[in-house]
Amino acid sequence: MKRFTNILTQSIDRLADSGVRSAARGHGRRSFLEKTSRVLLGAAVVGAVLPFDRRVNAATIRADGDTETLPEDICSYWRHCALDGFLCSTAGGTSSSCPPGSTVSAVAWIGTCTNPDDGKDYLVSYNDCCGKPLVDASTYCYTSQGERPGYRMGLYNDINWCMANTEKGYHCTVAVVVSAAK
Amino acid sequence: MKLIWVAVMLLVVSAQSAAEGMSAESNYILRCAGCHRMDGMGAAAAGVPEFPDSIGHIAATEKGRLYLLHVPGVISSSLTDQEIADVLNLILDRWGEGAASYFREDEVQTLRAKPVANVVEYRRALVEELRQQGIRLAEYPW
Repeated sequence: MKRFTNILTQSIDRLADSGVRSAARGHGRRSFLEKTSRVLLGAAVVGAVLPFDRRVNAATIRADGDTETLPEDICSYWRHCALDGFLCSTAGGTSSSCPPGSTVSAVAWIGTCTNPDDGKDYLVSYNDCCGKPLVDASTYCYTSQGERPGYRMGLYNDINWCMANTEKGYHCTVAVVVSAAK
Repeated sequence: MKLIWVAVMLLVVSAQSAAEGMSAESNYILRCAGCHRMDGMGAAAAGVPEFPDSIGHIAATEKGRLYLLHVPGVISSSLTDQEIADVLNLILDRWGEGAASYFREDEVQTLRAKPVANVVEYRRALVEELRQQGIRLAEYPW
């Protein structure tokens, strides 16, 4: 019985030994490192090259896991206090730059908004972006603080500010701080 | 409730006073730069002529000074006579090439009170008058 047990354990030893050696020959540490590095490098390159939405990354993730809308994507954002139009930040651009393929208007409506963070007034230029059609899903805002009827021409903003551009089609509106109001 | 209304009214008053009494620079940005732009180059295609080599010639004549005070954006600017003078002088400083004298508050008051029936026709007559003196103003589609 003892002899049978010895034979059995020796057989298991040999089997395990040959298996491990065989695995070591086929899957050396270098092979493992090489494959792992390929995966990591591939992920790094693909991650950097593939297009991605910065705004999704920039959105705040709340405790419940949902993402919050960026402040500049909503009409009540302080810089939008005198805006009448569609937000470029919801049409493929940002709150201060036109979406690719559109051009910024030469002329603009300028309003005064109070920044709640420092309580100061700022002069904000509402330039239209021109030369592309409207984006149906973009957010429309009509805050127009300080706007006056058409007979007060300089304070009237129901105007297509793309009028001075070669491409006159209205796409969306950006809100750029020009300077502090003083 | 009364206190709330008092607070609200105070906020409204402070907001208004913040809008008033701005510097000539801020008034230029807020009321002129939207069309005339920060560099004074305007947008001729939209009927906004450029300032350089033009505004100084206009302000150097009596007729031109009356015209400037009846430019629609000036006469409807809701600024005081002094504020209008300050903004016009800022424009002369930047783009007037020293061709004209500064505006004063009393002059602005006098010129604003003078009637100009058709400002576009008035401008055409001014352009023609200057052209005969060998001065060409900036492009203007009207």
